Amino acid sequence: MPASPVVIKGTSEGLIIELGQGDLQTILRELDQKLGQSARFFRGGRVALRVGSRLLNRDEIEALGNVLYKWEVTLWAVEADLPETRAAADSLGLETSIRPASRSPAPSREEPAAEEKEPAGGWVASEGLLVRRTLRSGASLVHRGHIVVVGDVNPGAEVIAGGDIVIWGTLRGMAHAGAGGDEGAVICALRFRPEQVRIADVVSTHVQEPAVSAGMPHMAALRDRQIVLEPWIEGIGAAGRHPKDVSRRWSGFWRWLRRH
Amino acid sequence: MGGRIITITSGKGGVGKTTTTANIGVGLALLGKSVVCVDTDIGLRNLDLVMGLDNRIVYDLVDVVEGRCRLKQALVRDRHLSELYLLPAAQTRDKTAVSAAQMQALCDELRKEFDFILLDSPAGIETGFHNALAPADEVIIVTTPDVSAVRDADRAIGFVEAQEKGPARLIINRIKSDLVRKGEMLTIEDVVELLAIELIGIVPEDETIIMSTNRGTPAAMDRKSLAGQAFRNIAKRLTGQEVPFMPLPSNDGWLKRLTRFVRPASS
Repeated sequence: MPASPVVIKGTSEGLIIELGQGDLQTILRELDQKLGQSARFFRGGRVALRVGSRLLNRDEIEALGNVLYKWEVTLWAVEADLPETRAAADSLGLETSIRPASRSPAPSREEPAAEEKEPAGGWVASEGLLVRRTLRSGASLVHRGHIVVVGDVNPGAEVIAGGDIVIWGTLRGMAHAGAGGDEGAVICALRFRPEQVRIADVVSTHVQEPAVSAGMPHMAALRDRQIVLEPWIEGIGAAGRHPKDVSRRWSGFWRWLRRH
Repeated sequence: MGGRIITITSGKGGVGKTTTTANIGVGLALLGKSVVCVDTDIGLRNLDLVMGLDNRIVYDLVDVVEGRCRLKQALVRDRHLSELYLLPAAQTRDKTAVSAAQMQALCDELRKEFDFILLDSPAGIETGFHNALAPADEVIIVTTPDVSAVRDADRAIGFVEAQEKGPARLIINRIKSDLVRKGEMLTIEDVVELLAIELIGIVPEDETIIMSTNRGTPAAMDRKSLAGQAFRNIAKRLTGQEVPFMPLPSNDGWLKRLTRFVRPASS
């Protein structure tokens, strides 16, 4: 019998549940069992999950939260090594670090820093999220900052960012930039074959690389409430750049001219 | 170390997982390997029919797991190949009858006795799929060249990668070469580019598969079957042999073939 995939620890930061190896169904069952065994102890408590290098999406974190909720335990944080898992927790409004400063679970009883915290935290939500892997069908990446994917986004996968999206690969699935309403957000991809793209609240299902620039990198931006796609040309950038960027470029140009 | 546990899965149903399992099993046995094909599709037993062993089943996988019989008692030997065995699924139970840990323990037992343990996974991405994936050393993904099968294969590969199983390798089944040529079907290149895993087999659409399935003799036994040849090649590649992919059959006339021969198309 291998070690239990669910270990519950009491630390100075409150209760922490550590998830080990094994498939999620087994873990959910084990967690349910463990909480059930001492239901009275856990009732009304708050716990943090430490998931290590396990990749969890929003649904899976929710499933874990639901088991806890069933026993009247509140999930307040998910500490994870993988930025994607942290982003998923963040998008559910959960903390991503179990540091006492962020939000102490209860008025502290015993203050001494019992154990050194490993540097798993330190992730700021407004930063960009870099994912170095292909997002396959069914994958969902949600982040309130910018997202960079080094790999492809396949049909049936989605990338949703509060800021810009850059795909260093082929975009075949769905990308939504400026999901919080930022109309200046852009979507860049080495190859553009999406099912659908969205910028702010504008949806387009027919963004296609023009035949003349097929195979080149492209950037999609909003212009006059329409998503337009332009090829990215070496040394020039996007052929018909977003107005905001154009003005910035030109002001730099005039400054340069005045100096010479 | 012992034998290699290879799970054959697809995501989508009906793309030929069971046929593939039976035929690779035959292919490996023809190469002199000892092979057991395990039907993990509990409740929807099929592999026994494809292998023509349905009337010889006494005990099944669930009987073994629940201790009603010894493992050896449940193994059914093939009618033709003495090194090929089947461990059938239970037809009267469902996926919850076996856990991933039990599957793992069962496969570890089989590993001591056989060179290859081929697990025929159920369709879908639910419990049965995860149970079949849990003990895998290697994974073979079967797809057909159509968008829905490819998308489901992509999903299945996502799970394989998330659980750090693998390497996952790809078989593209039921290629209709004339449709590909007309541009009405995804090409092999399209599929491989999207799924981005190693290709280990291309199997043409072949009527002999249907006939052999109904007869209960896998096409790999049939020297003249084109699909059978493709499956035997896959078995050879699994044992480490380098076998080139065979050219796809065509229904074109001799003139067209000649022009293609004179002006070779991009492979």
